[in-house]
Amino acid sequence: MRHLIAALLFLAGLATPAQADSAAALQALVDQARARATTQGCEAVPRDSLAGVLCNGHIRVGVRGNYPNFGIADGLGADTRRAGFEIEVARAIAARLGVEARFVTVTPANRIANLVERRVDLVIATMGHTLQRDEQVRFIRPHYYQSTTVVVGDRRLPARNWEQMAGRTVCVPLGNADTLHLVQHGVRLLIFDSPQQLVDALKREICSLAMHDDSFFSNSFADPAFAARFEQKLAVSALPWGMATPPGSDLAAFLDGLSAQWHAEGRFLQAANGFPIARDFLEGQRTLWSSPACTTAGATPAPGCLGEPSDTTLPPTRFAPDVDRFEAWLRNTLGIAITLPMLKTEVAFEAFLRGIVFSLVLVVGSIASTLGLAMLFASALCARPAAARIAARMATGVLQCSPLVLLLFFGYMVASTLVPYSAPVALVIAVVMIGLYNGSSAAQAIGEFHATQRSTSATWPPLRGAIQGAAVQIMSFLVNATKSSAVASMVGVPELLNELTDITSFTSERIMTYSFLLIFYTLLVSLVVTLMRSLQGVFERRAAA
Amino acid sequence: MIEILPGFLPVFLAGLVVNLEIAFASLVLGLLLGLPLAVSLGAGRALAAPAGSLVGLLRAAPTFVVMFFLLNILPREIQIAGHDIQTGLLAVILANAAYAVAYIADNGLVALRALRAGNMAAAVLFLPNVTRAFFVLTLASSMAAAVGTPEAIFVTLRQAERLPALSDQILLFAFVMLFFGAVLQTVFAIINAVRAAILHRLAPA
Repeated sequence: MRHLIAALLFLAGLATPAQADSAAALQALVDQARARATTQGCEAVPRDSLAGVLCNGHIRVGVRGNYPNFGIADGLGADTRRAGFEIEVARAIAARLGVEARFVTVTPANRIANLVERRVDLVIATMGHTLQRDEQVRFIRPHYYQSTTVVVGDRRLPARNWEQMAGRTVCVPLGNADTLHLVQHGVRLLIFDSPQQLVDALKREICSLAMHDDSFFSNSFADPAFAARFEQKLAVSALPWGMATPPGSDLAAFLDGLSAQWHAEGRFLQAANGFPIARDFLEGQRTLWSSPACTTAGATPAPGCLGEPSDTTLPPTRFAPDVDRFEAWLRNTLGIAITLPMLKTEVAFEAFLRGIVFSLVLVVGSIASTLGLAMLFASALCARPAAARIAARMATGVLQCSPLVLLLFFGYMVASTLVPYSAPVALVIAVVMIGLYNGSSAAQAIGEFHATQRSTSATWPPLRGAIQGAAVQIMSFLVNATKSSAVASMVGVPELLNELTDITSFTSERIMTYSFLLIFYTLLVSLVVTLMRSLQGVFERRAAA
Repeated sequence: MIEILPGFLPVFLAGLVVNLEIAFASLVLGLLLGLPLAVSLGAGRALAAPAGSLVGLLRAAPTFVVMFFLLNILPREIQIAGHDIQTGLLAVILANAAYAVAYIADNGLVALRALRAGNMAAAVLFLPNVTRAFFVLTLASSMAAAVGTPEAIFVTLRQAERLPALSDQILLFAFVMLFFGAVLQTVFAIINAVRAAILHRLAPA
């Protein structure tokens, strides 16, 4: 029978001899399953096996219900209308088996659970094939599609390589591991809960750059208005998408062979017709699987031609098990459910430590620059030449009334003409700008005290006396410098806020992370306030003596 | 640079309105919560101690960090009086309100003590101080740019990143800095003049 099918296909000119053999081998698998169902009885075969599917007369396929061009569901219950590339693939598989396709809507959160608990026989639901998921379900290879994580942005923005991307803000969805690539290139992140919010944010100009799968953006680019405003800027990384069956299902072996055959025949490409999705991967796979090197006579695809799953594992810290135990103890003993993602993986822990170090350096630097620049401006404001006083008054007037955010970006822009972006450069810019902003206000307080002294004194009062007189205001501006130091994250200083935002973007944990951040900075400010009060006490005692 | 101003100015001024709205909302919350705190601070120890701790905590909390904290813990969809409120906007208002509450409580306490001592001049200075706080809040509201709220600095940054020449970008920034400098210096000068007038009028003959 198998040889007869192969001969017919070959004679009909539909396949090469090897492809014809492969198709025949697949048909043999179906025939064997049907024979098994007949001899053992449908009750005796597992429901999710190939024989079970043939027995039931339908295949339960888990698909997306809200992913444009891949799996969209419209309506409820039996009246649900579905459309998309993955829906077409599922229907074609059902047709190939001669059974009905019964769709079950799944989400990224429950698609694997649906398979493991055998509520579906097959999942075709935008699922990336990773080594971690290999441990839970059986992925079908060759992969049926590949999504590339891309950065999309305003056409007018000169941001077409990693160098031009450094220092910019990119909007990202929560829980995307590819944000690590952005962070490594000095990109700042603004996190959104869902991918759909990214498109809205782009359209409303809240974001000028956004990162997500090209498959997701394909629907937006199908809109001429969107395509006229935005373009793909960068490809970040590729992730193969795989169909998957429950572990141990013999349906997988059949689908492996079928996928190779359909890539060779261009059937996946046909299924993509009518949907504005990227076809590069499908075309590449067609060329690959129709090449002699990848064509086999059996039902099993040539192993050397199969794409590998992605490895998205982040190496854990050596104390990650202790952190897990601590979390469990808190949960079981005190009923407090917290997670500490910043302590669990090497990459997160390094970022966490880096953030703390940069925050401390930033605070110390900001206090020092505020004090130094206050003295510099004050010496001009209290100088004998009127021209120096007027010039200093104008400069401090503008600096105090400019929003700090604007000053930071202004400094960043000027510095970028001299040196390329780096974390230390951003730190220096932030320290100088925070110093200018708070130092100008502190200097004005000194200047006002000096002016009061001048009005009542016959001689030119010394600067030192004015500084002592304005000590309270100077200290309050040093505290302000500490409080405002976190704003430096806006120009890419990798202080704790920035680092924890990066960690959140790939761990998805937010409440504990940002609570820790708030406690850290509040304690830091309180420490500076206490130090300033001690200093103030020392000055007052000295003045009294 | 000049050629972009006709298109930029209306957007910038609309952004400035957002800054003023944020500052106004924060100040109203600051008054609503800060004044009772000021009364508590001036009351007996049983009330003053917890009120003092709360004000101390609000004073020490960095506004920018509070904003990110709120942004990440507040629900994504918030409705107030039937209106959808953007989480980022609400986070900025509440973060600035934390500063405003502490400021109003501190200044309110000073005014209250002056009032009890019969020093009307010192008590009335509370009003220009509140006006000053409003403009400090207006400046601080520019941190909303970090969470994508279309206020004046946000629209300036968006405009700047689209300008091809660095010199134009620097000119745009200088223009906005001078604008803020001129407006706020004028406002602060008026506030100081009002303060002086109040002190003069209420000073004993």
